[in-house]
Parts: sequence; C-alpha cells; structure tokens
Amino acid sequence: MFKLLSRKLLGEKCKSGLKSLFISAVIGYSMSSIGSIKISGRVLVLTVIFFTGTLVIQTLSSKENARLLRGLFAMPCNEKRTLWEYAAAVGAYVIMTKLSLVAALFAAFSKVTPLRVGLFLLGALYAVFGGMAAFGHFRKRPYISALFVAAGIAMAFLLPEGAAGALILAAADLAAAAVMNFIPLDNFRVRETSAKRTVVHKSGSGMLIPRYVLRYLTENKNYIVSSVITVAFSVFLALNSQKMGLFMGCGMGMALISVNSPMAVIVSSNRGLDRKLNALPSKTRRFFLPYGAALFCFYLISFAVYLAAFCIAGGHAGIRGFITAPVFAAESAAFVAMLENRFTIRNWKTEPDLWHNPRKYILPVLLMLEAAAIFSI
Amino acid sequence: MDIRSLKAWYTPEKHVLKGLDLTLDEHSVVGLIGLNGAGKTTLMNVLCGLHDGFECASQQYGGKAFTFDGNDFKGDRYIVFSEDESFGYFCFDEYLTYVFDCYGKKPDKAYVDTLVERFGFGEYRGVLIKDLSLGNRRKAYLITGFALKLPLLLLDEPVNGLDFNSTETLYSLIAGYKEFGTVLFSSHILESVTLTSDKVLVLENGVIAKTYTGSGITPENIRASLGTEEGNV
Repeated sequence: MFKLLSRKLLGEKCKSGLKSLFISAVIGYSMSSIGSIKISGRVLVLTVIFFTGTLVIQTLSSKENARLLRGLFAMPCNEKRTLWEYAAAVGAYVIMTKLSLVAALFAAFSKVTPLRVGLFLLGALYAVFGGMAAFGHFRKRPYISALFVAAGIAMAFLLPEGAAGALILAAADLAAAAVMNFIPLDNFRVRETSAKRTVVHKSGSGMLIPRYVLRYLTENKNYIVSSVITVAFSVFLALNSQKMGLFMGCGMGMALISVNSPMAVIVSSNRGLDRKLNALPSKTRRFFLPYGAALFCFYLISFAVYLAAFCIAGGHAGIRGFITAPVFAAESAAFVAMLENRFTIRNWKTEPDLWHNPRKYILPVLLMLEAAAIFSI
Repeated sequence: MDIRSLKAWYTPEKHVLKGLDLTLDEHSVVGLIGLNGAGKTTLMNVLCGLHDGFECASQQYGGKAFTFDGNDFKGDRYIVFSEDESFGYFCFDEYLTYVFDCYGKKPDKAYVDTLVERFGFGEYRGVLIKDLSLGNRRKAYLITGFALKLPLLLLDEPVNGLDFNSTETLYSLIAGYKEFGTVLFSSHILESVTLTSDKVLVLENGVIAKTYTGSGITPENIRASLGTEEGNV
C-alpha cells in the first residue's frame, strides 16, 4: 500500500518528493539573506495546522486518489497496517512536497530554535493524524470531525509559549493518532457519485458563465468554507503583521485572499473543460472574459467581508484600504483569468498538486509587493 | 478536407499515426474503425487541434491550406469526445446556448426539441450535466452536435454508453447528416459503420490500411481486414 501510494504521490523512489525538498531548501537558503522577522509560536502553529490540515483533507478527498484506491480498498488486506501505511504515504507527500516550502520560508525569515522546530513538527503531525481522523469520521460522526477542527483552532490561539505548548501539542498528536487507529479503512473510500441531482428549473440565456462560476461555488460547499477560513486567516495575519515587523497594512490580507485556489483553477481542475474550451471557437471572448468578470465580483465581495472583519477586530483600514480593494480585485480577476487561459495547469496528479502549483503564488506575491509600496508611503 | 502523410506521436520515438492520408468529401458519412490502440482518438484529437505532437505534408480544407486549431476551421466543426466531463455545472439547455453562442449561431428550437424527443432526453434537460448518467451526458453532447448543423461533425466512439433506442436514433441521425455536412466517426462496433457509412476507413498500425465504399462495406470484408471473426472488432 505504502509503496503503491508513495509511488503515485511522490514519484518513483520518492524522486519528486526529494526534488521538492531540494527546491524548498534552495529557496529557503536564497531568501535567508533578505532579513528576519519575529514570528510568534501561535502564528507558527496556526500556519502549520491550517496549511497541512487543508492539504491532508484535499489529498484524502481527491478524485484521482479515489480512482486509484477504489480497487485497492475492495481487496482483502490487514486493515490496521493499511490504514497506517495510508497515513504515512499521505503525510510524507504533504510534508515533503508542500510543507517543506513553508518550513524553508520560516527558517529563512525567523530564528530557528529546537523548540520551534519541535512545534513545527508536532503541528504537522497533528494536522496529519487529526486530518485523517476528521475525514474518517466525517460521514458517520461529524461531531468528532468538528471537535478535531475546533481543537486545532483552539490550540493555535490558546497554546502557551515554550515547552508547555509543545507538550500539549504532543498530547493532542497522540489523541488524534489513537482516534485514527480505530477508524475502519472503508471510511476513507471516496464516493464519487451522489444520488443528489440538481435541477435547474428556469435557465435563461444571459450571464451564462457567471452563473456557471456561481454554481461551481455553491455546489461545492467546501469551497465556500475554505473562502471563509481564508478570510479569517487573513484578518488574523494582517492584525499580527505589525507585531511581526511587516508594514503592508490591510493590503497583506487581500493578497492572501487572492490565493483562493478553487476559484482560480476552474479550468485547470477539469481536464474535460480545458479540452472542450480549446476545441470550441471564441474561448477568450465567450468564456474567459465573463469568467474574469465573475472573479472580479467574487474578489470584491471577499475583500469587502475581509475589510469589515478587519475593522471590527480592531484593525485600521483607512481610505487607502478601501481604494485598494477594488483595484486589487480587478488585478486579481484579470491575472487569474489570463493564467487560466494561457497557462492552464495540465501536469497534475492529485488536486492538491493543482491547488498548490507555484503559479498560484505569483499573484499574491505581486499584490504583497504592491501593498508594501502603497501602505509604506 | 484532404490531409497527406499525417504523423502523430506522444513520444517522438514512437509514432501513433505513421503517414496517414485522409480525404473527407462534402456531405458524406465516413466511419473509422480499428482495434484498441490503432490511433482513432489520436486522429480525432489532431483534427480538432488538441494534439501538439504531429506533422503533416499537406492539409487542405475547401481547397485551401488550413490549420487544425485555426478559428476558421474551428468555426466549421464540432467534436463529441468519447469521454467528456466538461461544463458539468450547466444543464443541457445552458450548454446548448453557450455552444451556439461560441459558433455565433441561434439554435433551431423546433429541431432541438425533435432531437431531444428522439433521444428520450426530455426529462433531463434541466439537470446539471455533472449529475447525468454517462449515457445521458453523451446524449447532451450529441444533440448539441447534431443541432449545430456544421459542415464537419466529428464523433469519437459515439455509441458508447447509449441504450438500444438511442443507438438506433444515432445511426439514423448519422446517416441523415449528409443533408447538412460530413460526419467522421470512430467506432469499434462493426454494425455502426456498416449501417451508416458511405466510406469505411480501417485504421491499422497508424495508417489507413483499407478503404471500403458502397457495396464493399460488408461485415465480412471489415472482419477480414482486422483479422477478427466476432461481431465486435
């Protein structure tokens, strides 16, 4: 099981996993000379749990994995062993190919101490075991899944600094691993088909693509939840940015929200749609222009919610914040539509590969630089 | 359309199409048959500009040189893929409107209604495409293709997933499409080509190994070309 999955996720002999580690190390080393900032233990833990946990859930629910695992789960096997091998393969994939870059950036910009390394690793383990436990219980006992998510958020906000924090995290890791250990393997099987059938009672001929994009969002409730979490995370980081020595004001949060993956990969995530758009005439005029308009509305609403939450939580957006919002929304929409049109991501194995493609980080980095320029004047 | 010496590959060292010549006359039905891996889908993908690894000695459409991904050619042809999960968040009517917009055309509602009725698709018109069964999804794309009435209709394994009645309807529509243009369709079902085609091309080892027309289109001839004895080739 581990061999099969790791070959799929990390490549033959873990080559692509090792390549990712090497690239992360190079990026971290090359950025280490830029300067350092003070990052609190809570920000570190919140980032690791939020980032890794999301990736674990995405990997477990990936349709590509579902196809691979469908036959595998139907065969007789040692359930416990297979479950742990599954957790190991998913964990190794997420940590080696995705979290390694976050680790490299933390190492580049902040002080590395044994305690912080410990917090980082324990946070990652909680995300892997807790993510597995939350996913495994979601269908039959969703309250257990909610408990793991709530515990993750609570630890990120309430964890005491120092060794006590590490001890609490370690205890949470053990609890999550114990809960995961008793989940039947079949709970991890992804059901691809649903009996639910959405019927459109009245379908006019106007605003077709914005309607398509809106339906894409509303039919996938987890995309709305991830957007809300991203906004909340952005408010948290923007409020802490000044404490960390960053002077990007509320612009930083908008840059983070622009990362939103599902909306930004509507074509890349559907190979059939990509192929059909290329086969049909007028794809730019008929699809990508209205898609850009829909994205503009989406980003504008997200930024408005973010700014409201930011101000309620005690932040100061100022007139610059409110002027920047529509400009950033327009930039984000145009940039994402252009990337989806001209640089569609095609070489992906699982959805997380797609949602964490380096292409996704170009826009937030650009907006962060702009925010730094605008808010430091 | 006339194509000379078409070569296509996924890796340069192994060609899937090895110098294929293809001529499609106006207002005709051409069936393309071949064993698994013969290159039917690759040929379809090249023809609709979706496959980059190819070269061609000459390619002419309407007596003029053209490119497979050029806008003029795109506007003249529509393809129904063998596997398609596109536009899942549209219902059929929205998909149809969108595709007609792309071609700058207005749908002939009466004709669309007739096609919907013939395929027994009426109750699914408002269902999101992603929620349709494989067969019904195929019908949505086929109805759109036939309703467009473009000069060239490409169908890749169109019979797959269809029930008995819809298959009969499909054969009848393919045979009758000559009124509007040309159909090139690939299949591995022997009866689908023998019942509908003016010309049958047998694709083997990356080239058109045999061409049958008129009374030469018989199950025996095609079985003999493919070296099989059974009904399905």
